[in-house]
Amino acid sequence: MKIAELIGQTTLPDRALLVLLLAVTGVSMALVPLMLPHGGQIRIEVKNKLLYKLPLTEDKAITIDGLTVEIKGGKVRVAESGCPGRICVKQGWIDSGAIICLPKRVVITVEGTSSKPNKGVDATT
Amino acid sequence: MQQRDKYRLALLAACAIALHGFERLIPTPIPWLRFGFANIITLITLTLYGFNAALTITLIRILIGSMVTGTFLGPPFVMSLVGGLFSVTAMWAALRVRIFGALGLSLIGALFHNIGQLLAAYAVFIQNLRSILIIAPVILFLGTLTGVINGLAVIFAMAHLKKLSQNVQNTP
Repeated sequence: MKIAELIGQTTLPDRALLVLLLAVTGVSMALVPLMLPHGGQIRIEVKNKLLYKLPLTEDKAITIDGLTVEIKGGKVRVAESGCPGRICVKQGWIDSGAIICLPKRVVITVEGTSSKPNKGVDATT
Repeated sequence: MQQRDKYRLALLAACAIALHGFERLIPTPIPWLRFGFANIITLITLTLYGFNAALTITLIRILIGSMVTGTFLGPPFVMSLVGGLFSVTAMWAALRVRIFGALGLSLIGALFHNIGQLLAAYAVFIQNLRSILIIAPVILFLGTLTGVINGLAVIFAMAHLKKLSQNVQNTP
């Protein structure tokens, strides 16, 4: 089947839908990282309960349910998961966004510092 | 439904299970990215035999496919099930509108499969709207790409089937 024949098999709504989908998802993919807070601190939620709130500035490793979370140099990763897919481990180091482990229902989200120490009025002024 | 059609549906279901199982072996740059080749079969069934047949094949594929891959009743099973039901229903609705060809139907199927999965992930596993929203554009974008691949595959397959049936009719 030739290319022209192939395009002839698609309807105008088909092509319009393809362009629309690519545009909407492409633009939102580009926008999402801009809106994400970088650095700051991480939240670790297990089964929808907040277990830890840790600053990214402090190097640390903790283990939750066989899942080892490592913080180093302002970034976080899952070093070991113990589940078959190991998707969270393969994701590697992140400093924005989230790592999600479905089998153990662990969500690690990076968020901006809530206290904002540099923006508040400090005690000496 | 004729007896011959039942055999054909069984064959289609077998194809869907095989594609469902074997596509896991294809290495992808992102571990959770799947092509959803089984949707090729669902879409062909939907066009040839209608909604009930497509729904049956989807359910058989997810049930047996999950047993083959060992994920029965696990998170991937729940995600497949919700995604599959969303996708087949959406494609059926889009087919009734009669303005879409195989490519558009495949795109709609992929889109609603992913929407269903995101909703399932939110409802069943992770009640964290922010992380779902962060990942949604990436998943929907990749779904559009795989939707194009599958849509083209359906166009090729349907053209081939048409040629085959013409050959059968022309032979005395």
